[in-house]
Amino acid sequence: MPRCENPIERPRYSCMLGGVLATVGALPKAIPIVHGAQGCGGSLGGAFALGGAYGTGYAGNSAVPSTNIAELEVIFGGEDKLREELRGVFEVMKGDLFVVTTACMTDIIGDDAKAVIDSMAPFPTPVLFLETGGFKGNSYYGYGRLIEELFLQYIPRSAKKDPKTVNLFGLVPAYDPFFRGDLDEIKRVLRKIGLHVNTFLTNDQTQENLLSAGKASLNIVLSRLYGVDAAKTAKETHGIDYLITDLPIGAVATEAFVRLVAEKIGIGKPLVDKVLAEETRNYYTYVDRCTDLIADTDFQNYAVVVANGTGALPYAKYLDNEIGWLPTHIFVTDDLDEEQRGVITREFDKTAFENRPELIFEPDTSRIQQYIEQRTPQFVADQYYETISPAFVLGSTIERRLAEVLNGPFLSVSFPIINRIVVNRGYAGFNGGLTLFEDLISAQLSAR
Amino acid sequence: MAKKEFSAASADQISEREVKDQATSREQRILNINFDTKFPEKREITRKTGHAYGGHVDDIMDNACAGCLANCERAFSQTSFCQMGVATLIGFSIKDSVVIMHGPIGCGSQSHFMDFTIRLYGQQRGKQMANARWFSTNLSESEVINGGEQKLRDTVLEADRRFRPSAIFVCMTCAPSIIGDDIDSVLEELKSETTAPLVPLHCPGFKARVFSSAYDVVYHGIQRAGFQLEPLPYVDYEPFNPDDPDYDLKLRQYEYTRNHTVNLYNAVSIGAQDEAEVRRLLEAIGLNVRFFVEFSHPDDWRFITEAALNVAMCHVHDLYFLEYLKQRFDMPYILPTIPVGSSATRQFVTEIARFFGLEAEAKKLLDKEEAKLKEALKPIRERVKGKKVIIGGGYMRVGTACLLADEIGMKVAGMRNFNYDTYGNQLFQEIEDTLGNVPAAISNQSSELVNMVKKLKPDLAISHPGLGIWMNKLGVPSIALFSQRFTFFGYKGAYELARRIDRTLANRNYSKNLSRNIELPYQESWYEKPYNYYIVDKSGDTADAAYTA
Repeated sequence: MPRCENPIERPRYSCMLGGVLATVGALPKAIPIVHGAQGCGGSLGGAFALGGAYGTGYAGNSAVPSTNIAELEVIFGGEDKLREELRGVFEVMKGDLFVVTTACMTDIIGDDAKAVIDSMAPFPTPVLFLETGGFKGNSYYGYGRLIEELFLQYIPRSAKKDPKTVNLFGLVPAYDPFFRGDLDEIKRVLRKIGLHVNTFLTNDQTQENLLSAGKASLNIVLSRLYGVDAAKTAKETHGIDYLITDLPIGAVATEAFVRLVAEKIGIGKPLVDKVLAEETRNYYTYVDRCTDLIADTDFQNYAVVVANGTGALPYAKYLDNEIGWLPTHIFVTDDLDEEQRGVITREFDKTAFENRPELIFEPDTSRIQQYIEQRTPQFVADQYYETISPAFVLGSTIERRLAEVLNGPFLSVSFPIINRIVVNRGYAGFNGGLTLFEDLISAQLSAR
Repeated sequence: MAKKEFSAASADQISEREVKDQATSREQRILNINFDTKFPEKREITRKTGHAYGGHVDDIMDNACAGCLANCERAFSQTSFCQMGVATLIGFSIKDSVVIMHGPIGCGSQSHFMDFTIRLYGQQRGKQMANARWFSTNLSESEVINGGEQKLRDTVLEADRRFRPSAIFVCMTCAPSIIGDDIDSVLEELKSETTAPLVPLHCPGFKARVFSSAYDVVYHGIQRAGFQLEPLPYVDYEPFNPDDPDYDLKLRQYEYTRNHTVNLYNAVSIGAQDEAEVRRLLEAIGLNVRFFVEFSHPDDWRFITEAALNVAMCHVHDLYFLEYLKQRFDMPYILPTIPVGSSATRQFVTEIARFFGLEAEAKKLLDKEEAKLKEALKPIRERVKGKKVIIGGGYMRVGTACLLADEIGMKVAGMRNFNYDTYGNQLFQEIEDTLGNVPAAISNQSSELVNMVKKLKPDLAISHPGLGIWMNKLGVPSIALFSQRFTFFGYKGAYELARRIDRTLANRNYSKNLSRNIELPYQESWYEKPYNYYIVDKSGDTADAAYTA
């Protein structure tokens, strides 16, 4: 749960409902229903569009059924309006799964949406319910709660487990802007070691993936923070073991990730070795071809990473461990409680860095730049001083300003991304690591 | 058709004589506002603005006059926009401002996109804008129970200290409105502690169906924040000395300038190139032209009253403020139309010219400009004539774009207005007279849109941002109804828009391919129903009655 202690300047996430709308809209042919005011769904659709122009899709944004409660319902209650809406939904909308959500005003006035749904069941299509009033948490929390509810309300329990089936969690649609490309790549790699992988959020998924998720032997959570509680719940309710890990970016991290998964599931070493040899050979054959440019131009940079709790550490790790850069600052921009900060800090301490960067938790936007400016000698007048130069900034589109101040290039990797569109690009795994390499170097060539 | 019966039923409630009276009172405009209240009423009340209807141009005009459009509701609805989101648009585009969303973290979380828009659009106007700066008070569950006033106080002080902004706009969202946070008292209390003027915006989303109510909210806030709207002696000007031998001459010079100065009011939907085109036309007849309030600093507003006339470029935005300036400073205003297409541009310039006694000059200019445009449109007309277009968005834009489409020989298959009130009747009368009784919906609902498009089968759509996606999914190419990237106003705008229509129709493969490969989220049976199937008259029966209709 986020702390909500302080006001936040330009927060890089939305509310619980925002996270749930983005996630439901990314599930195969699933449609959210908002029991709330008319602007909630539309505005929150506008928010997740900032994850690299992540659009309407099958039935997001303006297609989302919404009770659009108004002043009258705020005074007299909105349950009738929900009843009316639920009648219309099945006459108009075609979906495989519906999720009824609530908003601030319906939670405050105390509408019993669950009772309305129960009184109208059964429906022609499965209908889930989740209370999602915006003040209850942020979009990451909403994602985690939705996954939890999918296990509690929808995914059938299965006593028989398929040892070779795994589920992937942890990446939040749009708020992790490269979630599709990342999941596709992790899936590709895990398939090579013989696993059947459910991602739930990529284009190849159907309801069948959701309905068979209970047969999985392992839930892999690609985030230290988000989806973890859901995985714990699934262990209790579905008896599925879980593995919490960082999002692996690049050859070094992905090799370790594959070995970790293989060990957990018990996949023979020869197969794993063979696959990893193949992948790393391919990876470094590409890198080899780039090295003329790298060696001749000296593209090693200091770097500042600004990202959410899922991405910040993995990006910094890639820069240090994989391509030999010098990350100086890692800013985690989520509003985290002490426990969550502890999780990230412990992981940070465990991570081997050639040069240990500074880890800072700062959700408040202009304080990020201020932090660097006030502590970095290049803003002190003197003849000789140690600078963050050449500097590279990996952050959200907001950090372009920071890159200007540090006089270095910039790549948008975290929410919000509004300076480019994200289609099938991903930075995770072997292929993602190459793509990130390509983007980092191209950013320095683009003015040529 | 179930809905035809509904339209008839609501007409039945009014006697035949009354209907006739309404027909003659289409020119009357409903406006009922009070500047002294804490917050303004929504437009459903002040202008009887409707947001849900299905019919034709003639019945929406008549029902707007009778005020019964505002009674229509939906028994099935989809999400749209709220007045809070719209209210931030003006707040952000005031130079060097800060916006505070007083609410939980999600409200306003879409605002990052304003960052590049205001910087870019400012730049196009020669204004160096700061980033879009905003805070969320980040209300937690406990504050939603115990009140969030303290956090608002902290946020306002922090915003003022951190940025020294030109103004702080405080948006009151749904949650604190329901729990009863008193932002007016908080801001009143803090007034002496901040350097920035504090502007209360009462814009909880649930309060207004008609989200353009937001413009009234913002202007109400600006008015209540007490910005100086007259120049300050010895700061902005040196008062003339009556003993000066040139006193009379100076006074006459001053009055001449003032009497030839016109203020035009812009909006986020109006681009720098639109302003430039309108300026070109009005300066050509000898007027001094200025633009307010967006992309200007509140200090610039001290010169608002130094003009002879206020003109709304789109009165959906500014009527409230112009009425205030009239009542408070005795400044006359006119609401000509939005100058999109030849006919509306002529009307726009002529009405302004008439006020200044420059009609002859205007006619000369407009005749010349119009002839040139007509010649230039000829080849485009040849290519696009007979093509069917559907136009959707705010009713002033929609109406004038319909007339432009007709001007280049296209056939208007239908229009979709987000809302409607009597202020559209003058324009819509022209549409009825020129194009006939065009099918006209009042809707921003995508299900209704898809249903309507399936029936009308247009070749092209001109759509409000956010809805063009459904056109493309249906295989219909769509261009934006407004965009700061292009010119829409005046003769230059008419030509550019015609060119864009022509260009878009020249290759429709993108939407064609898309529509062949995606699935729509609607039941086949939905397309067999009329698009206004779920629109019900809430003044009489319950929704259930319409349900079985």
